[in-house]
Amino acid sequence: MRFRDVVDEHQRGVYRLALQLTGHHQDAEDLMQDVFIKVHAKLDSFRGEASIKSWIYRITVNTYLNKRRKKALLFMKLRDDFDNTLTDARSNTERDAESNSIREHVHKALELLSPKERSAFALRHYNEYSVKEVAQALEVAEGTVKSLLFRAVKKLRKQLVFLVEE
Amino acid sequence: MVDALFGDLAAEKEDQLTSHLNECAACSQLFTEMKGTLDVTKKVPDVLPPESYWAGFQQRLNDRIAVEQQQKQTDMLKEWGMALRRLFIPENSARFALPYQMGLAVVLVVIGVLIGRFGFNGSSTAPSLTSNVDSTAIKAMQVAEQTESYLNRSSILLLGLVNHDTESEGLAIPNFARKREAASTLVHDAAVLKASLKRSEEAQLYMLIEELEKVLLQIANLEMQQDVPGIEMIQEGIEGRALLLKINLETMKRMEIPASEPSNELSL
Repeated sequence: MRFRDVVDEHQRGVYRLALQLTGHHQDAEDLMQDVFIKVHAKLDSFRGEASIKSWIYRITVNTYLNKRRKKALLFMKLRDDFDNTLTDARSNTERDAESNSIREHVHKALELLSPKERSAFALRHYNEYSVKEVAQALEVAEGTVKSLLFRAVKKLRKQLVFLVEE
Repeated sequence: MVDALFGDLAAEKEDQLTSHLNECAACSQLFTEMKGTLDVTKKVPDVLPPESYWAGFQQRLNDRIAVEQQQKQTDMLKEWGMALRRLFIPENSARFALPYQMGLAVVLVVIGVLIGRFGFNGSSTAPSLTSNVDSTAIKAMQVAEQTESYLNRSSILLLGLVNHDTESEGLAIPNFARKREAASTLVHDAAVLKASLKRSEEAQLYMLIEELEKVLLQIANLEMQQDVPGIEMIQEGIEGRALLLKINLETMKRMEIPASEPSNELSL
């Protein structure tokens, strides 16, 4: 398994997950680089007990949680201007006002989740991991995952309920 | 409820939940709002950067891997240095540092004499000219290795900056802090390398290192990740001085087989 092929195959998936976790393009890129550096260092010792995708996603979530622990992402707020520039450069269809507004509200609501709630939510909701797989990735019990998910949805509901259609 | 929200509820329990929600208005409203919230969060469009971004990402990743590997080697050398230092200057013996060092020096001299006497069986009286030639050759090899490593590291760093396209990849330089740190290390290393090159009289290479030093200093002094005029000035400096080309030429020159070395290839 060549490292370059692994990057080619998984970079978009890792980017999506990293963006769901960090909420900002530049932080997603930084996280993605950290992840692939680790993959590069450990690829020879990967024993194939899980799928390589699960293995890489697990590294992504753990790297994100460790970074948050070190408070490295305190600087994230400073990057809003940069991410807005990126948003402006996107295609016409994405400039659709309603979808941009929803995205902004959802990103802001996701920022209010704790790193673990956010990780559990991103894996289960956006990446269709089962509760068991999320538990393995976060190294917690399945019951804990359910609690994290419930708390996450409750917090999101508080912020986004006005967008919910009757 | 969380099982039901994420579609994990078993069929019989789903019936139970439905009948409860039919009877309890509060739970029913909470469930509807939570389910609706999940639907809203799925409406976020899937935005991926353009294709050009991914080619740049591979390059940036390779640059960073190279820098990290270099850093690891430097750290390892530092650790060895510290270990040697600890051997000569034990941490808790400031009062006895001088006697300890003198004692250690005596022990090393004795070991050296013993190795000389018994290890080489009296044949250690090699002509001094040979010794001088050997030591000069070793020094030249060390300078060549230092130069190769220096040019390689500089080239990786400069390539990363020259290839950074602010239009397609955004204004901020990825891994800005690391790049600045690498530039700062290279500026420091340039002083050491220049001293060695002065002795070896490699004037052309000396000038190239001086040119690199100026650009590297500019990189080390960048204050912001998004200093677009600063980055563009550096990019222009690298291209204007044809630094990457000069590095390539110098590297190729160093890889050439010396003319005096016999060749096994057939000549036409």
